Amino acid sequence: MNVDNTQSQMRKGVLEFCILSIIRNGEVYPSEILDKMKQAGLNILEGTLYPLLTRLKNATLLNYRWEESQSGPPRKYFSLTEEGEKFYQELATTWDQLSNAVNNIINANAIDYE
Amino acid sequence: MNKVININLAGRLLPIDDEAYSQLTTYLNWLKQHFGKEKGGMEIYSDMEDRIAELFHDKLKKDNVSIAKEDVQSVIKIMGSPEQIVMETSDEFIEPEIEQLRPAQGLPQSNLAQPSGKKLVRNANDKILGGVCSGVASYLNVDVAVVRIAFVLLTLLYGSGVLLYFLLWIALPAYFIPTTQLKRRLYRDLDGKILGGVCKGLSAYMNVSVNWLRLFFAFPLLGIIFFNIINENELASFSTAAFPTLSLLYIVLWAILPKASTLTDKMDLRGEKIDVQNLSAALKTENSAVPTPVRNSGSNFFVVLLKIFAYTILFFVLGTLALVLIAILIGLLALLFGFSTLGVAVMPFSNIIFEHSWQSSLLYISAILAAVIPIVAIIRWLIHLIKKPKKTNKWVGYGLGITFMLSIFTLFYVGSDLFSDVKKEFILEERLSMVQPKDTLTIGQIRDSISTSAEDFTFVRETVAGGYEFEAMSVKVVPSADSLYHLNLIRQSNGKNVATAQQYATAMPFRFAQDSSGLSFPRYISLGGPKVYRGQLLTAEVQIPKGKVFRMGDIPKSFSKSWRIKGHRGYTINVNDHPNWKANTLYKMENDGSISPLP
Repeated sequence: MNVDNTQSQMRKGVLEFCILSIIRNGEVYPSEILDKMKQAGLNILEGTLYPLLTRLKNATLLNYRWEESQSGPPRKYFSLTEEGEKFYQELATTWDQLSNAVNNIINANAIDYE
Repeated sequence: MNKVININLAGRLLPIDDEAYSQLTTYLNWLKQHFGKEKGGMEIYSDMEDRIAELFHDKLKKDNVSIAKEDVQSVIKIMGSPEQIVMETSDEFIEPEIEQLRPAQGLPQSNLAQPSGKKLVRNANDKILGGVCSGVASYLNVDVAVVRIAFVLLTLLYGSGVLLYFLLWIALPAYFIPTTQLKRRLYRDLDGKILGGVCKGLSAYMNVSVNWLRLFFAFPLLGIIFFNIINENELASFSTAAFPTLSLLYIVLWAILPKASTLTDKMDLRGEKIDVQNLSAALKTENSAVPTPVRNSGSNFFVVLLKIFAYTILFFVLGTLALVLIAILIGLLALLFGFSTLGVAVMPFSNIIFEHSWQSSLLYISAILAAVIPIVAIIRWLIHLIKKPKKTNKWVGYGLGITFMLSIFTLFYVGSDLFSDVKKEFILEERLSMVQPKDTLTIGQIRDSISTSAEDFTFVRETVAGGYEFEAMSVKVVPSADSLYHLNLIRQSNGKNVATAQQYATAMPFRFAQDSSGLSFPRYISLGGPKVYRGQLLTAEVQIPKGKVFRMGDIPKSFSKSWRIKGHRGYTINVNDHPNWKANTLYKMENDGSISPLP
């Protein structure tokens, strides 16, 4: 069993959810998403963000518009569509259930060991 | 020291040194190629280029020097190495294919994930028919082409390959095996190829010198020439025998192997790991290798000779194939468009077999369709196998299938209709008055103006009036109950029912000639009123007193033949020779009723 593979699977699962919730808090451009993730302690390969964004956009969950920036070329600012909002809500419910369940399991184990 | 150049990356001007530049182009090219396969891939690529430029820009603001090799390395670390990107984004490639397959085949979703552990499954990701071969290939960790060829070879063994394939198709579940798991693929390598790059690809795959493989494929051709010159007959005939096999193998490989078009494909072919170091190494050899093939083919006489040979053979093989196909097509077209006029040539007596002309037209059309559709289906299947079009029109296949079934059904219908037309039999015996012969009775034939060789058994002939006449006159000799000669005429025919059979049997006009020396019968009988032939036969039964000698004169062979068609419990046609009369021979009616020829 390859630990790298399992870790990457775990990350993949939550990555879309994280991206959607960052965008939901307000229009952002890609490097901003990366910065926010880094601040939160989630380090991802940047090369994996761009394919995901394009995919979410092609699935009509995201919208974007171009905006001029002072330092360089214009940037893509992403926002959630109505569909994206619905998608997010479903993921949020699942995440609540999942994180509760996982925490319960981990904590139960911890108590058992004590 | 390193040269520094200025580049424009995604709208930003960046000073970059030489070494860093070549690494960066390698990386960017790989990204372009990798994501280019995906829907919206160019957008992903330009976003990433954008980000890379931004990262460099930030770097320059801090250090205020040019971009160096280390900076490129650190950017690649941030963005992800080719291997990491393949691993982290591979799912995105597979998902669209799952979406397509699920409604079409009704496979449950759980089947489409990767199999856990190493299991023998069918691979829905890379398939020609059911994905059996590529599943086996990924299980054995060999190239799928090797397995496909093995199955084709197995099929030559009493078709066991086909059987095995279908068994595995039924038995194995379907999974999507990610393409990244399939290492070392067999491709055709077009760099420095002679014909299709098959040998070049095989040599890279098997790590054997390409010239050995070329020798292997060219050996029958060279062998035929060489061994014939030195008069080594056995080796020459061995070469001749090996020639079609190897040419066919080459053409099959040419057709089924994909060409290694991208750099990644070429590295797959050699089983190399895809990372930045390897990529730039491969890129360098690629760039330096560009002029070599030109120099090679220009100077190497052997290669040019081989190329001419190979193209001649290929031209010959494909030309023959094309000619055969064209001939078949022309034949079929002629049949299709001209069946009404050509009908007579194809099946000359259809109007004496069928009561209605639509029956024969129906028979022609359905017979042609039943013969043509399998050919069309085979050609279609071969084209699919070679070209693998993205979309196949199911309805063409369904249409062909339904038409085929209909034509088979029609064939049976027309056939059974024909059989029911001869179901009933009618036989009528009448006594004719006969002049008693003075001397030996001679049985002969009435000559007519149309000359037909007596030896021929033509059965049907056309009359001047446009009708048909049949060799349906039979002569039978039986012992007479008294001391006199008698003549009976037996009329027989089949028909849909007894009434029709009777009508056919009595409609035939019968004339015969007699005088004191003997009897003469016509060779050909016309059907009278009816147009169709339903087993009509006239038999002249000559009764001869025991002990008398009689003579068969200049009679045709057909007088010896008689038949009965029985429609009861299946159909039987009995054809009898009673006895096989010889012309111009004396026979004696013995006292026990048997007939023996006199010397």
